[in-house]
Amino acid sequence: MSLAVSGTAFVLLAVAGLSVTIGTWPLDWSSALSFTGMDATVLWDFRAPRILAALLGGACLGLSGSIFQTMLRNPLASPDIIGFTAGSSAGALLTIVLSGGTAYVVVGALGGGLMTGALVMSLAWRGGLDPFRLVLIGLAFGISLMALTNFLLGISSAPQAADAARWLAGSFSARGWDAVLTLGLTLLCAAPLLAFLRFTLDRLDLGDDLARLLGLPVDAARVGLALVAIALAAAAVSVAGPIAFVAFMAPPTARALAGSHGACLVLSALAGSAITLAADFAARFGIAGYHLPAGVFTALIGGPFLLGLVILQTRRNRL
Amino acid sequence: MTDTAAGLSAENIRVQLAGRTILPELDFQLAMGEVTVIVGPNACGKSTLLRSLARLLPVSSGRIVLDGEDIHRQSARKLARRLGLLPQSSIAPAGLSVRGLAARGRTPHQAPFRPWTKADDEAVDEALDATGMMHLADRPLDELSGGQRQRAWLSLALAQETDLLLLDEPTTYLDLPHQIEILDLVRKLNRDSGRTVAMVLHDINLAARVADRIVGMRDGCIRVDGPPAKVVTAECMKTLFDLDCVVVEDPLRGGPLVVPA
Repeated sequence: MSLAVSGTAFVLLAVAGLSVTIGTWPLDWSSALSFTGMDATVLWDFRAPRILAALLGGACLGLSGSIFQTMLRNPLASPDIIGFTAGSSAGALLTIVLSGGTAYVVVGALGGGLMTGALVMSLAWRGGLDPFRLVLIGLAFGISLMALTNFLLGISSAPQAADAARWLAGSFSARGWDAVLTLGLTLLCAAPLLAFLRFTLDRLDLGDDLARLLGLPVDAARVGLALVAIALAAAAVSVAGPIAFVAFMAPPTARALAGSHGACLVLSALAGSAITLAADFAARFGIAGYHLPAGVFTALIGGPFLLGLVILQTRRNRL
Repeated sequence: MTDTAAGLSAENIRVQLAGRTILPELDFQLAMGEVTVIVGPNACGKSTLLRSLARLLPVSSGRIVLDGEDIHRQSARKLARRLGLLPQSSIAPAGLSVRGLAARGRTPHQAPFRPWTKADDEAVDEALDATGMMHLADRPLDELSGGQRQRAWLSLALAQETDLLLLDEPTTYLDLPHQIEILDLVRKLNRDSGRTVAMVLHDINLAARVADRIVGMRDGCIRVDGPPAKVVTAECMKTLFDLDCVVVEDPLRGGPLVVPA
């Protein structure tokens, strides 16, 4: 387990190092670290915040996915599939269309995510929070919110629509230190809450009945965990737009690396960081000279990843 | 109730599920230190009674009292240290070892940020010993046979160290030798440590073999109640199951034995 964590952390650092050094402006570290000249500007104003934002944003998404998948006992139940990311997107887009800029995106993403969460959870509540109902209702909300997003795109004026479309693809391009601050603060707030809630999270795999019989506050913990996970995903969305499938892919990757079936929160965060950072790295160089947003790359590998997951699982079950 | 001593009882409870009344009005007092077996035809409310007693289901009127206090007013953790229930079917998390499963039973004795203690270790060891699962402690659950798996679940309930143990059909899906094995184990747990056991069983002959007291239910009501010798009779079987039968003496143990006509 600790080997998997340190291994992933090492890969992550290597990719981060590469990503900082390589680019359209080849970085000269000695002059960059002396805080003078173009190299310093490239490092401190562009690459460092962008890479840190990708790192932290990926961690937020990895954590969020791991929380949802574990507490709902469903590998499909990541926030980007069951509507919470869509809620954040719609909220953020609404602020773009209403204010004509991206100034209130954080508020919109958080508000949209939490509002969707509250609606989905209250509809899924039947004397308790039923995991399967929550997934189905979340899916339904996701589809409706996608329609709302498209509607908002349709009614916005041309420059706003261009802004919004770029934002909707999901990218860390030109993100500054304020993005790093938003993500860092969210993670700092989430960490102690998760450290407390994981006692229950780790024991939900026995099923709700047994967890209740063991004296665990199943519903309260699930609501708390959902709020933390939604806030994490919303923070990532507010900074980078809806980066597709990272929250979905990171937890199974972490479980495979650890050879464990639990939540693997730390490893999921690291895996999320690694996937996002690699996607951002690829995005900076693009395909055939076209710069593409990171969200396109994560979506590109998301489909085959799901296919691989299904094939692997059926093979394991047959053995 | 005047009797506020240690014990679990249902006082005039009414339980509804999805708008249907399962238990219209039921009084039940669990005899401490005994093995009580609840029998009855399918859908008579046996499991519902057990699940209500363990607070998994809300009662729409009446109350469940443990040690003189309504269980719905007690803290979940406190309740989980007094009373354990093994549900009819449980999810076995993939890859979890037998010891890992038993360790989950320590949950009500633990808390977030509190480290695993020696007492926890001892309780888990004791549970694995009692169920004869020590030699399989490190095996993942999904590699075990049905009987072994059922013993592993039982070790979770034992590690919980509750003196009240409710078991919902602990012998389902097991072949006859394994059914006997589980029931003899339950009997032994009751004899050795004085645990109070209440369980739902389908097989009336097995119930007669293991029970101090048999409670027979039908249509959400308790119809017969007493020691096996008094309850396992042709009349009672007719009342409970509409079953025509002859009751003979068990040639080995002398208890009643139902032979369906």
